[in-house]
Amino acid sequence: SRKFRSNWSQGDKDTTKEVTIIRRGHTPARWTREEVVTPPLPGHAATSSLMATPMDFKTYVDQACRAAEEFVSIYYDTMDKRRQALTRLYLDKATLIWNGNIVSGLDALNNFFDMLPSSEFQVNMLDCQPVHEQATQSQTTILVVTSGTVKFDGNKQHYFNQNFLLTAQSTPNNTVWKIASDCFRFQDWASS
Amino acid sequence: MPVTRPRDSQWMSPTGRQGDSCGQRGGFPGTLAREKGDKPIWEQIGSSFIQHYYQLFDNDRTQLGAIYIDASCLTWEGQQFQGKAAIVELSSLPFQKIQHSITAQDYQPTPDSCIISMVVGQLKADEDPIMGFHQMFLLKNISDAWVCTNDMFRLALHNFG
Repeated sequence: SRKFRSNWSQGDKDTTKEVTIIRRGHTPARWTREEVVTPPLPGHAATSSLMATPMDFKTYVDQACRAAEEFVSIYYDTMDKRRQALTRLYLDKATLIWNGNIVSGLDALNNFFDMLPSSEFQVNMLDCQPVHEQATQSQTTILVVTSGTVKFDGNKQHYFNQNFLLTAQSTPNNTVWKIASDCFRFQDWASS
Repeated sequence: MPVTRPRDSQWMSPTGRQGDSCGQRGGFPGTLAREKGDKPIWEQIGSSFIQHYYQLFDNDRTQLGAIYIDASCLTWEGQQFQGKAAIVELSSLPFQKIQHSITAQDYQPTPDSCIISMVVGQLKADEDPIMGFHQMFLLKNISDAWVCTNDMFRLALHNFG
């Protein structure tokens, strides 16, 4: 059985430390910090007074969706294979609604993911949108919707839908993505 | 407050509204149970909005224009639209009659006072068989009106190659 790491809070939250910068086209060899790090988004990382030309929305969408795809890949892999590290992908005050049950804050999330049986996820679909800056004044935010199948140990396989609100903490060198809101539901629970 | 350790089966049997938008959730393990009628404000706003949305959609979807702004993003079955183009797309979908039925809906506030909503349900278009769908909305209050800035819709299709 999985041991619950009581010192999870010592996990990495310091984004000023050197972190692996993932460049497009390279597959990360290993995720030692269990964080999702992408190159800085255009227009968000520049600190120089010589600003680049105004950010093209299509480019921004493209970059955001790449980040979303990487995030989703890491998230479910971590959920299935390194469950004890999963909450590093959440903000401290993140909230999850799981099949209608509210789980709020890192303590509750840790308890929840420790209790949840081991999982095998298969994601079959992903949609993503950046949240336009009008809607969120300062932070870079993307919305991600996934669906697929999941089998929890001791339960039958279910279709699921999940959505994430991801928020970026940007530095000049990289962007670290974390989950602010998470909502998960079985699609076919009428038959369970 | 002691945290009750939920039974596995409780987590595997979803709570949440059945049928259309009005209704109460079941109890939440490990948290204070809510009194009947004591819904958080984001849930009240969200469920009113959603009810209004599907009513408009089912009766006259050309009127959906009012709920989107120029910067809104719509993703419809994987295709991306922005602002007014979204409305044109929805108005020109190739069915005459459509009826949505909500199976479950979830609402969360965001740190900057928007509301995220996830809806799972079924729909019937013209004489086609009933299909499942899920849809995600991000709602924002602009000048005292709630608008939809992000909308992602997918049918529940399970023929994955």
